[in-house]
Amino acid sequence: MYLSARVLIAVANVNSFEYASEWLHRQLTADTLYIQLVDLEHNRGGDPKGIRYVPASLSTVTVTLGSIDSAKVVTRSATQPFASDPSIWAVAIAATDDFGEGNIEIALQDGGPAGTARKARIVNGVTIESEDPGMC
Amino acid sequence: MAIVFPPDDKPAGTSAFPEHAIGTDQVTRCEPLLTPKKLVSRFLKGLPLVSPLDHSKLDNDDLKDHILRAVQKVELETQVDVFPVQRQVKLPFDRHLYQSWVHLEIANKPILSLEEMTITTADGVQIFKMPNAWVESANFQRGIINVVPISPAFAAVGVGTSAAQGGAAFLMFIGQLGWVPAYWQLKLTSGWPEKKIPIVVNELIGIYAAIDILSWLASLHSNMSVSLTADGLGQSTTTAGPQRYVTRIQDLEMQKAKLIHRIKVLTGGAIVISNV
Repeated sequence: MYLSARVLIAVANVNSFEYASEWLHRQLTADTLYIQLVDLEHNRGGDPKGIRYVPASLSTVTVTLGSIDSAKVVTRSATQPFASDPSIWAVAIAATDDFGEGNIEIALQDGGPAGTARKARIVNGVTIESEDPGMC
Repeated sequence: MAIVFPPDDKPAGTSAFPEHAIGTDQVTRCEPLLTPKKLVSRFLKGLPLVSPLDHSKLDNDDLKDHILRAVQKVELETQVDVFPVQRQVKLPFDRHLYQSWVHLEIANKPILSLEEMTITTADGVQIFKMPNAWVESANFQRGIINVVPISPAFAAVGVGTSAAQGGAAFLMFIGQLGWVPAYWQLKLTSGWPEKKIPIVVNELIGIYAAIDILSWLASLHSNMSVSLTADGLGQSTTTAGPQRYVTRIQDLEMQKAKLIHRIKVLTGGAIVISNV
């Protein structure tokens, strides 16, 4: 298997969400990032590619949102918001989090501490609207 | 890799775009990196991003890849980091520049902040650390660093440095020389700030990506001309034939030449200087 993930937006329930190429976040606002784990070794020619990946029970997912400033890097445990679809994970973003744009790094401990460690990356998965877009 | 910024790092103080701004109105001049959706709406709206040959579609992942590659090209061509990068640069000691308030200029502009300016020997020994308070940041946008210790010179108490005992001797020795390579060691962060890219830079990224996509689309059109004759029941079609690929190859050859040049510039291979 080749673990990857997709950003989900407009998530209401397991039957109502949209795939997005990136997560649009407004700087310094509380928000929730939803991702779906996918296995890219299946449905390679599909749009979107891959099929959802349901990890084993007791699995944990840690999501890292980067920054050039190590003090602003956010590394947070994700939770499974829907028991009926364990491929979907949610990360709570606090209004004080001030990470940068770029990749979303995902670490899956598949099957719990004794299970298999897997990694995934959503390239340029985060897009952030700055608080002060007048100058840079 | 994320960086631990020291508490005394020297920020640029003013913005790089608009240059030297310290406050603006509510007009948006900077934005996040171009997204696939914006790439299409700004440059490719209305165009079918589908191959007429095998009906394969340029999906969001493909567009994202085009943007990512365009970012790298823009960084190479302009020597401006689209996303901030911390660098460790060693610049030579030049007596004339030294006497002009340690006038130093780096290739990658703008400078966002200077973390550390030291004199570090070839074996990595730091023999003098310039107090960041002495560093003038007024021209960081242009990649220029000066050391202007006027304020400490008039102060009752000087600014402490971390000069080791050997430092003074080293400085005296240097004073006899006109030029010393890799003398000043600068640790600095350059590029556009996080979450903010000037719209005009995004425009350039989009143009690079759009040219590549349009070149691909152009090569897929098989028919040069089609004619139908109703009464005589005739039909003729002229195709580009292998010329279709030639056009695409020409586009790629141009890009290749540019990239080769820029990569050579990056590694100092574009200009050969010799004393022979």
